[in-house]
Amino acid sequence: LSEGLPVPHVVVGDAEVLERRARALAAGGRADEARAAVLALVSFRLRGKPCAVESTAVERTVAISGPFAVPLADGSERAVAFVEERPLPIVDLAGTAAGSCRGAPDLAGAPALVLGTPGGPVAVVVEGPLELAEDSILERAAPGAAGDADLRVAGRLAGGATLVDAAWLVGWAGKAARP
Amino acid sequence: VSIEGATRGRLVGIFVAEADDTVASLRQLTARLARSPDPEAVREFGRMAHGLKGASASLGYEVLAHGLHDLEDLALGIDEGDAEARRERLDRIGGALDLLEEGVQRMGASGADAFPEDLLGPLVEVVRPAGATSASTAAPAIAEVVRAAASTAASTAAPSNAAPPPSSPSEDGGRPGNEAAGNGEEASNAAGRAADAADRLSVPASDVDLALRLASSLARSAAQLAEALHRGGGELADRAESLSAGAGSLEGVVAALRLLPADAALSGVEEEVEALGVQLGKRVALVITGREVRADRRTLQAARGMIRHLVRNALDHGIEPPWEREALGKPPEGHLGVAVEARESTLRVVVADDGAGFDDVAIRQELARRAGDPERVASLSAEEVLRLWAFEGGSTRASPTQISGRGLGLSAVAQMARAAGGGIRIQSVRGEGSIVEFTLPLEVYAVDALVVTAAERRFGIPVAAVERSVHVAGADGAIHEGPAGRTLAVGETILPLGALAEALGIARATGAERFAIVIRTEGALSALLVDEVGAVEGIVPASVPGVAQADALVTGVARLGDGSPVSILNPRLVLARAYATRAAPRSPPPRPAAARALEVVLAEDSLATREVLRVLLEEQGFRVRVAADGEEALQRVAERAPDVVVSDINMPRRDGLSLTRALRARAATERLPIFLLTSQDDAATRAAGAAAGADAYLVKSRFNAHVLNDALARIGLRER
Repeated sequence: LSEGLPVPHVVVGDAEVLERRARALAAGGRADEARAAVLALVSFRLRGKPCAVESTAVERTVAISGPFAVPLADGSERAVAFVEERPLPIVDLAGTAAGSCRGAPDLAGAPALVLGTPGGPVAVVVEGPLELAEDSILERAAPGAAGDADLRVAGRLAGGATLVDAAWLVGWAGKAARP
Repeated sequence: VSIEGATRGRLVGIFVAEADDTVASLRQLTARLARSPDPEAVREFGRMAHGLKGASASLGYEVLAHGLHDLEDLALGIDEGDAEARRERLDRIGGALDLLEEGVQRMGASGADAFPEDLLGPLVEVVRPAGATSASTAAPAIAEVVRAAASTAASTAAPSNAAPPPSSPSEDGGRPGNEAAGNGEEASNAAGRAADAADRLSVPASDVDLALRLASSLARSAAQLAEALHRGGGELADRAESLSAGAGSLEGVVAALRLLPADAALSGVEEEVEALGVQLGKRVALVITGREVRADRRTLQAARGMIRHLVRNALDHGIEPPWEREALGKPPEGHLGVAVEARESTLRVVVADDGAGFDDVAIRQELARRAGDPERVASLSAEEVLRLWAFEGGSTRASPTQISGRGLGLSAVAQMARAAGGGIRIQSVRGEGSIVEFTLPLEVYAVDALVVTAAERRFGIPVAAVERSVHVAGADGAIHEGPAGRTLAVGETILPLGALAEALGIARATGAERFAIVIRTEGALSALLVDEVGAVEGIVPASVPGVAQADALVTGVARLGDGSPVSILNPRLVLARAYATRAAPRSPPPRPAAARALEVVLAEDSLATREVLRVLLEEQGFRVRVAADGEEALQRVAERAPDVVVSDINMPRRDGLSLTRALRARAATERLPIFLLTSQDDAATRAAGAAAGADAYLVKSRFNAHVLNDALARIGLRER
């Protein structure tokens, strides 16, 4: 069976956000508005910096167990790992952001987001810790703006983390997994 | 025979694969016997059961060998007695095959080096000679035994029970042999039954796939737990083994939900051909091969309709009436063949007939008329024209017929194949016949793969592509470094030799590789060095789109019983890469100590027994060339005279006694030492061996290195 992660816990990244939401809920009439302003997120790190992506884009989070390399006809290799007995291609977003992609053996135990792409699910390796969080957008990125390592950034969160553009991340993962 | 663990594991894997095939063949023969007395089928049944018995004995499965011996006797005596006695024997044979099938599947699932104990007793009981129990009382007792075994071993889970082949005696045994002939209604009913069966899939296939993956995971975990507890022994170990067996059965059940014998796509075809033959006034001999191929239900369901289109077309448009055939100098009976094959991740179906073939001239005219471009049509090859014709939905018929309309079934098949991601290929010679081949990608497929290790990674090579394995240390001077790279001499054939790790681009050859695997694909033959050769494993690989898929170097990935990943290789692409990398400089090949080794031609029809004996002989320092029967052994000897021939007796095409006589009759081999190595330990066969001219008569159950060396010493080939 796949290696299990510790039970994830909700982290209150911004107590003020939580308080605002609680007050909004207590006020009744503005509950929907307050709820809409708060995003459910999965937070992680890239190059040591806090990042997050909307949780709706993430099928699940895993620690990569037993990764192995599969040779391709062009002489290159792709890393693959079994998640719930299903083999998934692995792409190293953390390595890409840091400027050096790692080989399959070096990805053992790495935290990853499993994203649903049009070609099937892909495990995207990031830096931990992986946490569930709620936060609101402080600033939205201009359309087409790129961040570090050509990450498409959707905005900056109130808690200070960078919000990665979920649609871009899914597309990037699909392309990187299946050249 | 004492064999070290890893090698024994490999041999057990080969035994399981061979036993699985043999049981499937025995079922088909039983169905033939159920239809009518068939001396040839009886002989073939006896020979195959005998071969499996020998393989069992060679691995030390004595009780199983005893049961198979009785099964052989049971079949050989099937026509002794009245119809009731015959029916009773068929029932017992069917029961025995059920038990054998389940046992072999459980061995395969668990990797156990023993036939399941809880099935051995019932098996021995069901085939026990009639002297122990009267025929009139045996049947209920047998039924009870089989039922009890089924419940004890949770065999409700067995794939065979989930989808019993229609050729099983319980179904076919009561059907008069000629009942189906000309009975179109029954053919229609058969088709209806198959369609109903297919419709019963009422859960999403992806859910079944997930269940299969989880069941496989459970089976592996249970096997690992059993192995870990086995070291401590005691009650926990027994319970864990029981858990492991149950998990293996569960995996089999779930696999059976997705994988069916190809018979699901072929049932009713024989009846339909007979009925259509009567209707059209044509005589047709139908040969179907590949019923035992296992594939996913949905692909088979699609193939079923396509096969029927092609069969109806062949009968209606291809095969001529008897009078016309005779006028053309052909036999009055036309031949129609349907072959199903699952190759890696593709289901391949070939429908061939020896009828009129396609009318190339008329087709070109029609295509030119439609396209208005006769020059382009004229420039196409015959195969290109037929392919275009298929996709164009063409017909040269002036009017439709009741059987196949305007012959547009070919177009339907072409469109269906393309829509599913497969393909179609048509070959035809006017007046001689046509071959239509279509392929469909399999959603889920099982593959028997030889697991090898290269650069510390495990790869599976489909056994269908594996010609043989060569122990490099025992290959002596067979490896040569030439200007075109390294070669390996196998028999009289010089094969290009490369390292699998180099071919895959994952590592350089180290020179420490212990085995070479000879791979054959599409006529090409090559040898690849690997570090280790493991067992033959039945694997249900999963694809990883873009990484491991049907047309890639790796067609799928899976996990073995110990949890380690294995990549299933595409033999065609591996060989292509091997050829491409041969020009690169290489490290020196391993050079084992050169000492003149005695050469043996080993004739044995059972793959498992042959491999056991080959390992034993190579460990004793012999160079071994193998032959699958006496006829092949004659060829091996003619290619190059060995020092000694070791031959089984009971083999297809030419048995060991006939081989001995043939060798003795030739001047070049009249003094060639010949050892008969057989499980037949009776005085009559011994006498026959001596009369044929054998130098030694060795019994498999008592065969070991000492016995062999003693026999060699007696004829002066070895010192005592």
